Amino acid sequence: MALDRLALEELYRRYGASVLRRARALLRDEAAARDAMHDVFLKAWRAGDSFRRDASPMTWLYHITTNHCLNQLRDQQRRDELLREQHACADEAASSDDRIVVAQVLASLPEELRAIAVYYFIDQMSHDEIASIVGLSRRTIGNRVDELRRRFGGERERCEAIA
Amino acid sequence: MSCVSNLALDRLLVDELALPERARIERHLAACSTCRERKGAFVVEARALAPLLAAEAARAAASHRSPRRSVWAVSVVAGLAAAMCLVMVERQASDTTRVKGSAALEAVVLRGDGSQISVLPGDTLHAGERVQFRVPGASTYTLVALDENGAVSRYPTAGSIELDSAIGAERVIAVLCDRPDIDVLAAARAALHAAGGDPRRVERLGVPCPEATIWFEQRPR
Repeated sequence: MALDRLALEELYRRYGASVLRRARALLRDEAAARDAMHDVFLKAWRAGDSFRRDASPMTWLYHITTNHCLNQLRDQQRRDELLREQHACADEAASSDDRIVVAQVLASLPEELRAIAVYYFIDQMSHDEIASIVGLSRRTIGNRVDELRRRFGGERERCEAIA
Repeated sequence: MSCVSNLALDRLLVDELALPERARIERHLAACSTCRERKGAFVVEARALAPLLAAEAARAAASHRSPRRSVWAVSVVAGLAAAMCLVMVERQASDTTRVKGSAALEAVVLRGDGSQISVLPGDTLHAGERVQFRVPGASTYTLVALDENGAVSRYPTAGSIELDSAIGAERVIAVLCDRPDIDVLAAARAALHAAGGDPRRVERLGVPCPEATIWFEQRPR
């Protein structure tokens, strides 16, 4: 069992800060971010042989973390909407809490644009980097980034609501 | 070149970039104080998070016991090892028997209060700091250090070393075998020369033994 512990420690030691930073930036909630990190490393653990050996582990973990957090935000958004419908937390929903702002901005986007918005606006990745991480062509990424910029007024800086 | 992404900085810090990409980003960092500060912040962040991450790893290990866990551990680590450029190597048991596995060269700064700080690739260390290098699981290896000033020297495999006042990048390489016929120092000098004197560009010594390596920047206090 010592090997298991060492292997996990190595995952956390080498990649934990990056995964936790991403989770914090997206979820804006420390406990949720730590849970997300836990789930992401569990996914890496379970990936086993299907782990893409030819890809960079860091890129793989970025992708998994982003998708995991977007799913968390989507679920949270649904819960918030349900609560609003029940008039149970109107005050909280109307607040400017960072987590809610991020969730709302991302929720305003179609599913296929959310991860790209994160990579482009939060991570400031190049089109090439985004293309490699989501597995689409550079041209497709260019088109989708153009669409994002149109939606947010054309300036990366004007999307600070997400970042 | 526009500023580098977080992903690129993270990949640089775990030494996951191929040499041309690493050189391109390091050129940018040399010219861009904003990105240098971002990189420095990432290093500080990783160091500050080390205790928390160790605790989270222990929590994860305790909460996910499964009969398949050992298989996952080996395969995940093997997957990571295959992709990591710097610190993972293929281990050869002998000239005729090849056993695949991995070895990592770890470095820790030993502080006066008894605590230790893990050194990440590209970390900044300071003159006078005591550093211990080790390759967990390896019983026989040689440590050789190459610095930006052209110095090549052996480091002891037991105990720790005190960093001198040299400034600049330094790479430490562990050669995992006991072959007296191999002149590790000569191989290191040749590798440093071939890399134009930049130890960051030295990925392997090219000796017929497995290697593991880490590099750091040395600065005055």
